[in-house]
Amino acid sequence: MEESARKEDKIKEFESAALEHIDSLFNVGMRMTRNREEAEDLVQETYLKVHRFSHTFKEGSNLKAWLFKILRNTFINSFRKKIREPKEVHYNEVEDFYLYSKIKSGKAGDDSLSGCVSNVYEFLEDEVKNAVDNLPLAFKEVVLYSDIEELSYGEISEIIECPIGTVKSRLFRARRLLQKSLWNYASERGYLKEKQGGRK
Amino acid sequence: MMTCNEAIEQFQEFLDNELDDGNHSAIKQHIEMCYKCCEKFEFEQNFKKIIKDKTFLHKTPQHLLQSIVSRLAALNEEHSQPEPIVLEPKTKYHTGIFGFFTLRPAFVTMAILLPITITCLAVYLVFLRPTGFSPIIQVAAERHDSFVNDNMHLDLVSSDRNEIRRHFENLQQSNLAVDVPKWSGREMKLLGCKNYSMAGKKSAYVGLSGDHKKISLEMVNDSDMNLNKLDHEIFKGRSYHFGRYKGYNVVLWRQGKTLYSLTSTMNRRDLMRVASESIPSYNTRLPDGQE
Repeated sequence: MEESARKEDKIKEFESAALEHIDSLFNVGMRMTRNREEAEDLVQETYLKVHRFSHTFKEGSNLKAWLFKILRNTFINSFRKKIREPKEVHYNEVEDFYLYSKIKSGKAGDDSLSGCVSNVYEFLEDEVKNAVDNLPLAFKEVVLYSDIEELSYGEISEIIECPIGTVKSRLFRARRLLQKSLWNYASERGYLKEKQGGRK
Repeated sequence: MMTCNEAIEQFQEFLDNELDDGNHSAIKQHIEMCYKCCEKFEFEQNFKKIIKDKTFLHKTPQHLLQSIVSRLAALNEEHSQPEPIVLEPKTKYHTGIFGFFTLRPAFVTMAILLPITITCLAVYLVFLRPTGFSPIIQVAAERHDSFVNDNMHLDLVSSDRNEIRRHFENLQQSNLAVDVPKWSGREMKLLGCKNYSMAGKKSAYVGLSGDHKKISLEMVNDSDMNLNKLDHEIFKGRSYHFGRYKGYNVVLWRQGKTLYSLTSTMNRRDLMRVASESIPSYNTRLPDGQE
């Protein structure tokens, strides 16, 4: 009897530790489903699975990564989504330091570092969100895990069940794609040009 | 000294804090000294930060948190209600082979186990089922085995058709008890004959060869051997019984009071064909109506 009570306490403890990450899960869920209702369902289902599979969690491993893995599998299974690497994106489509060189060339003659960096901050929230949301799922998820959740390549590779090399190259490509679409937003809006014009 | 290209190659890993201490400090050193790389790096670092700052905005709605908390509480309540013994094996045997049975719903297990069982059963029935066994099968097969291995002394060796026919007639005369079939001898060689006894009865043994395989024909008169345990099949109006021993197929049939057996490595159907074509019963006229 005493032992079962202890076990119960342990489960409750584990579940409350898992609940501490609910904001991260909900945020990633929102970005993956792009729909509030679906994200809520997804997170709820994830926690029911956490309850059911709590015994499979290896003590000492990263709880957050484990939760993301369950979230991801639930997303794939329940929403019948496939996360595959899109073939139509060519590796060399976007060059290195894409945004940096674009901004830099727009500011020819002005070598001030702070000037060009501060430009990046001028992207509006919606634009960044849209750029992230519109990434193919395989790219989006690595950006979410790495840039937003700050997980290591090793943890990401466990979540998405891919070798670390794949994580690395996907992340690299994802960031370049993000920079490209942000540049497109920026030039559509024309505010970079305005700035440029104002300086001249 | 590290070149810019070398540094840029590892930029992303540096940015994501994935480099070991040595490489990390090498890049750091380079960035501190190289203005261009520093600018690039800071740009990328800021970019990473912007993605985080501008996307991490969704707070979990209170009602969702509440609903999850209460559902988990209900589940835990449910689990603690029944006797704790029920919970024990559930958490205990989830590893290893037991996980296969407990982790998955029963129907998944069934869906896997059922076809395996059916396949095993089918394989057993088709290939491994002990075919009906009777002492006569063993005797016939062992005799055939010594015939195949040339351990049997036979009285006559001939492939002449008339010789064969004459010999069959002789066999008939010397074994009055045996009802010897007439021999049409199509594509069949006679390798020899011998008098034997089987289960206390006199028998006539004939060694044949056809289709490059040796065949034993044995005839016992007045045999009361019970063949009902053996498989049987009707082929061209005659009922045949089968048995298998030591890799030889034995086909048995009765004609009047005589029991015939054909033994060979041939399959059943071929043996039945030999039996019906080459060894028509005593009273039947030969198809070509000779003599």
